[in-house]
Amino acid sequence: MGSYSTNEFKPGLKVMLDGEPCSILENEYVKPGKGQAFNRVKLKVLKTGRVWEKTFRSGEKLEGADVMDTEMQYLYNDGEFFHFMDEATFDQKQVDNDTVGENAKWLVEQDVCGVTLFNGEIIAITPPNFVELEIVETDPGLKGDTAGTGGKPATLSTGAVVRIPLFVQQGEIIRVDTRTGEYASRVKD
Amino acid sequence: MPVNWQASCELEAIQARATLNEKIRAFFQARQVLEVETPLIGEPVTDVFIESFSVYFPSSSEPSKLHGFLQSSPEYYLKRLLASGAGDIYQLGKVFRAEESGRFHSGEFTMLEWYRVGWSLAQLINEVLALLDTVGLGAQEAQHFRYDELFKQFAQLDLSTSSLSALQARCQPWLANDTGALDRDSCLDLIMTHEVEPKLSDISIAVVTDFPASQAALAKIDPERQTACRFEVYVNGVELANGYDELQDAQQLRARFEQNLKKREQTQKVALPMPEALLAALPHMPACVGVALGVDRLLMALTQKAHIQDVLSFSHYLNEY
Repeated sequence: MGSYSTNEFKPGLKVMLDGEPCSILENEYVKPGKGQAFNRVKLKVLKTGRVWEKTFRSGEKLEGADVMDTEMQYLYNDGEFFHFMDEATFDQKQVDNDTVGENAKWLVEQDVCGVTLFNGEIIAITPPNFVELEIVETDPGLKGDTAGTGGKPATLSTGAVVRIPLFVQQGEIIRVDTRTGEYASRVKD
Repeated sequence: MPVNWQASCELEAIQARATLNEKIRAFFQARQVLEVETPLIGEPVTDVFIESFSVYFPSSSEPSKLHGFLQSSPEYYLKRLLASGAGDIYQLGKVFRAEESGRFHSGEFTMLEWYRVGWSLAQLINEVLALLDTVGLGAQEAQHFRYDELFKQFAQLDLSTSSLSALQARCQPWLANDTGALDRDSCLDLIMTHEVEPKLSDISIAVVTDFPASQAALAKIDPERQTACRFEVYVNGVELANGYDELQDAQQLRARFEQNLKKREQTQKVALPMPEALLAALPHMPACVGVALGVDRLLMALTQKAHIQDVLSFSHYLNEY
């Protein structure tokens, strides 16, 4: 991996900072009149999703991070690890609970997910924008309430809890937008 | 990849620039300030933090013959004109700075620079504000701050008692790399950009005066207050203009240039010649004040654009550079 100077810090560039692979979000060049130039940079720490704000003196360099965004199919969870497969090579990789984190509730077996690989290991996953999940528990709802005022909570097969309209019932399969965690529609058989 | 050939800003911004240029010229014509042109290729400034583009003219006998440097500001030539007896003058034109690219920076931009012979800095500040009013930035009352007041009010820092190590400690959390201690001026620059400027964004026009003597550049130093006779005008937190009561003492200026060139050498920057023509002209230059104003930033403020590219007809080349 080469190194990159501050003027090459474009959004999306993957670099190493404090031992962590990061993705550059923003790079603002600042230079007071007669003074030294700095770059104020926002970076996303890929493993945790946390955003760091750091200032560099213009011209400073960071090592590039050997990071690749690709897609893999989610296979199953053995209780300790989540298993993913490269659909082209059938290569399998596993990820622990900490890395998957909150995204676990959007993982549906056989769905194709975005994965971020660092040195060949999965360090982050991105579930599909929409997933289809079964409602395992919700209140029967109020007949006749068609105004859709606020809806009701429903627990889905993965443990995710979303608000659904009152007319949707237990046992039905719904589409959920994983980016917002909101109900999108019913899935008709 | 298709080649991007189109203008990079809206036609409206191009028209707004033409209108602004007309107003600027009318303003100075009414005040009998002479419009001048100076060479775009010439000797470079010695600033530690300004990089000039080198211009080469290769020939078969001398394949890397250096022809000169694209001007990062017309300052040196304008001062040589003043020393030649030109009187009150202004230049409206392009300047070039390598390695500068960002929301408020472009490697090539338009600068308005003017000089008033025998005026005080206060008179010049008033003229800058009158110009801003004339071009349509509104007749808001400008707020005036001394540099140290600014730090006291917006960064809760008393510069008269702050040690270098205290300033460094203040800056350290912002920095990605601990690449050697920052000097005092770099610390002040960081606090300025990280803490002060964001708070100036609520103030439509702020005039900052009495800069530290170490940031005098080509300005006189007030013998009593030991501060630089320099001002800056900020519009909504964006630095727009920088003015000096111009230093006339060639010996003092040579010493400052020598210090700059030494610092450039220490930091592995391109070695540059001593601006001998300017130094030779200085004893002939009348007492004067001068100011440089970023026209593109003024246009951004007038048209409420967020990025300098939004007011440049073509910005691809230098931003790709």
